[in-house]
Amino acid sequence: MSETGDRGRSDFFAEAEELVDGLFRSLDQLEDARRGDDAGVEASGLLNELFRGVHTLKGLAGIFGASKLSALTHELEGLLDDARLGRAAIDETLLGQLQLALSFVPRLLRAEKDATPISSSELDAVLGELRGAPASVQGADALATLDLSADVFSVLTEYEEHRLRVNIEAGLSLFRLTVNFALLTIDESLDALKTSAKPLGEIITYLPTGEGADADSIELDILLASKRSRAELASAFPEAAVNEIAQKRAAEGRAKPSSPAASGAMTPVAAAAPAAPEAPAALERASNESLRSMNQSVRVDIHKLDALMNVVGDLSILKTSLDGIFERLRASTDRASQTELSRLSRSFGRQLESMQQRILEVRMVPLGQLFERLARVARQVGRDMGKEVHLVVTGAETEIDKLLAEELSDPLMHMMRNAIDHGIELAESRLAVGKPQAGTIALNAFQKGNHVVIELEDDGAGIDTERLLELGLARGVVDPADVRSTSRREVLALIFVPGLSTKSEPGRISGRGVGMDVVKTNIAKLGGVIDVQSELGIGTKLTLTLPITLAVIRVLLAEVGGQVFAIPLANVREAVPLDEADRLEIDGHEAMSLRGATLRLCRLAQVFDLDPPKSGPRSTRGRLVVVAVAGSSRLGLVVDRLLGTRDVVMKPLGASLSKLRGFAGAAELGDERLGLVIDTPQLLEESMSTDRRGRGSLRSAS
Amino acid sequence: MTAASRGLARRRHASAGASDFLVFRVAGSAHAMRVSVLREIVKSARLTPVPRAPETVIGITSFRGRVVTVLDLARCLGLGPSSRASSDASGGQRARVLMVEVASEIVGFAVDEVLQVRRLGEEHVESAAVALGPEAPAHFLGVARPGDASQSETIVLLDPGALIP
Repeated sequence: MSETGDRGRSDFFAEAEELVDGLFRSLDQLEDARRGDDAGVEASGLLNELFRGVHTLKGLAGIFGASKLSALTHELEGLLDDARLGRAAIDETLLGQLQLALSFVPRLLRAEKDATPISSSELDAVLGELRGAPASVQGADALATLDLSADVFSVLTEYEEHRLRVNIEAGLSLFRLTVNFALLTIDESLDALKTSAKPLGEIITYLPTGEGADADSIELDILLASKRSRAELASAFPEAAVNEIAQKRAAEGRAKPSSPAASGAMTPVAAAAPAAPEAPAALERASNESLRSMNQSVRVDIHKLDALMNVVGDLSILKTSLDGIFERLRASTDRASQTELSRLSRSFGRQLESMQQRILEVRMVPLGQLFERLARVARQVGRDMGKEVHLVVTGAETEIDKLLAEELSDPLMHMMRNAIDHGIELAESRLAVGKPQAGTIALNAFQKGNHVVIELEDDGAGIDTERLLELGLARGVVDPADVRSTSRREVLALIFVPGLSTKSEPGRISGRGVGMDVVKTNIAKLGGVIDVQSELGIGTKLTLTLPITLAVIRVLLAEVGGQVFAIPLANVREAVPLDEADRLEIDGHEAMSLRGATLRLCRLAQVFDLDPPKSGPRSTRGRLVVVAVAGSSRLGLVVDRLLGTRDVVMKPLGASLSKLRGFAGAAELGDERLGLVIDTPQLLEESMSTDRRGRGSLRSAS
Repeated sequence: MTAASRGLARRRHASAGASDFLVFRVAGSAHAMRVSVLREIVKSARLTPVPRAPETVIGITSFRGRVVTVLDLARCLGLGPSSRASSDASGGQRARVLMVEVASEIVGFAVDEVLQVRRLGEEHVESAAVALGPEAPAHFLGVARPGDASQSETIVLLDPGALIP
């Protein structure tokens, strides 16, 4: 247990150092950008970057109880937020303050690590510098001159409002582009529009108008700030109705009372400026000291580890060849050499195994870092949607292959957004049904055998299966003839069908649930499965089951049509003989009864189009059924014979075979030959989908 | 073979405007690829057939720790199956697999026989459009007539990148 703690701490220092490096880079760029021509746009991006970086650092400091660092980053975050939202001017004073505060961070980290306290007065001095209020942005609020309804203002985020103000103050005009999007293709169309808008101006936001030509489309108002004329924009966006939003000339509108620039007492620039140059001098020593990196961990490119793993794989093949020679020599050589050789071979094998194990360990990272990022997303999305969300995390110390952790990031972010956007209801609806005002999202991780399970559970509205089924019927995904035989689980699985969603109005956050199909595909690529459970009014739970590592897997070797295939053991429950008496025919599909339950069969020789063995009449006798499971589905794979289990290094097939379905990769089988590794989840899905199709056609024929 | 290819590499930059091509026989006629894309020529590769793969794929094999797809070059060119029938790349004593790196993937091309390395300059090469008209497939770089009048053999120059399925 303390090992994970130490590991977590060293991760903390490694990540914090990396963040600080990034922050210094951004700060340097910010200083450069200020001198450049296109200062405004670039600086806003850099300020955002800095803000996010500091925010992350603050989060880290909080988790590891680094209170001084927390205090410093908190102050720094406030300062950056003001600058980012235009409440503070980006001037020498601000840059000086940022430089000062950032230089102090490595010092704090070092003190934290060595447990040598830094005197509070030193920290207070820096904090004092930061609190010296920055110059305020003066002038009338340009937004007041815009002929834009209050409804629009009310939905703009503070940041959007700020960008709008900056653009208007820079003399750009604001246009409203009204565009009708087809629901099915909105993500692509919107991206295309954003790309073509980039050279013409800045998109402030896009809002649904509530109109739409029909049920399958949605109309959005896009607010675009641009220097171009209405006519130019109209020709650039032929699909849009372009209107300019008039600006009342004359400075009639003074700053709105709600304008952040007008609130608070601001110290004049001159008062804060002289203080800045002094403090950095005092800190120079500190920043020099911290030039030497203090953490003992090395960050390694994962591909280098892969290469190392390949070498180990090749070594195991060599060992197999050596063992072969040893077997042949057995008869001829004297006993003493035999014993010696056998001892060497065994210890070589042990060393090889431990090397493989150690490389694998290096690749493992705790899920905590990923979960921390998810927590930030949850906070952000919750804020944006005006929903109060409590995130409860368990099992953050669960370890998973680094590569998997990286690949999991996008799907999990999407699931998190979905849960808040579609799952958690607005406060009033929650109170109306007697739920606590704040929604709860539980993020749990735990290890289960060779797998890591990640659950994301919300106590929101749940999935309306009836509505989902209706949608499925309307889109032609579900055959009306099948409605009665479709199980609740099958209906819930419709959320993974491209373009289906139960939320009729568009959500800006997750784009109406479009994307669960992408999530499923990405999880499947990692060898994982996703399951959904949901109760209307109670909540939804998504469960990801993933292999712990991609590198070495234990497989069951099976021969089919004279060729050897590897079936990942993680997906195998058992193997049973195929008995003619147990065979069933259901809807034209082969199945067997296994201890009272029906098991669908999949003849690998048939789906892979391999020659059946010569012995015709014995086609069933002696065959075996490998019961494969993925998530909660099962399938019986019919094979000719089994050749035992083995640990193999699985490698991807070349890019030229990337479209091939049914195989997860290939592995060395030790006889200088490769074996194809069967992608069990994919075969399961294939067999289910042909089943669905088969059933449909059978009904329509009768 | 590595020694041979090292020799080739050394000669490669000898004169500007000309490149070294590896000439080989496939489906009865001479074809060539730039030596620069070649990683190795393998005599016999242990192939594992791949169900469901396009018919140009003979199988996969392990090469320098990677899984490499081996393609039947004759089929890729639409010239029917090559002489190799079995899954072990032993279509004949002279058959070879050319390990070629294209678009950061290594792919093997099975050929009937490796003939020689030739330095071909622009003066020897007719572009694909001239030789075969505008309809020429993308993998045809051109046609070379390297010899003098006595040696009137033509060599079809291939772009392996355009041959990958």
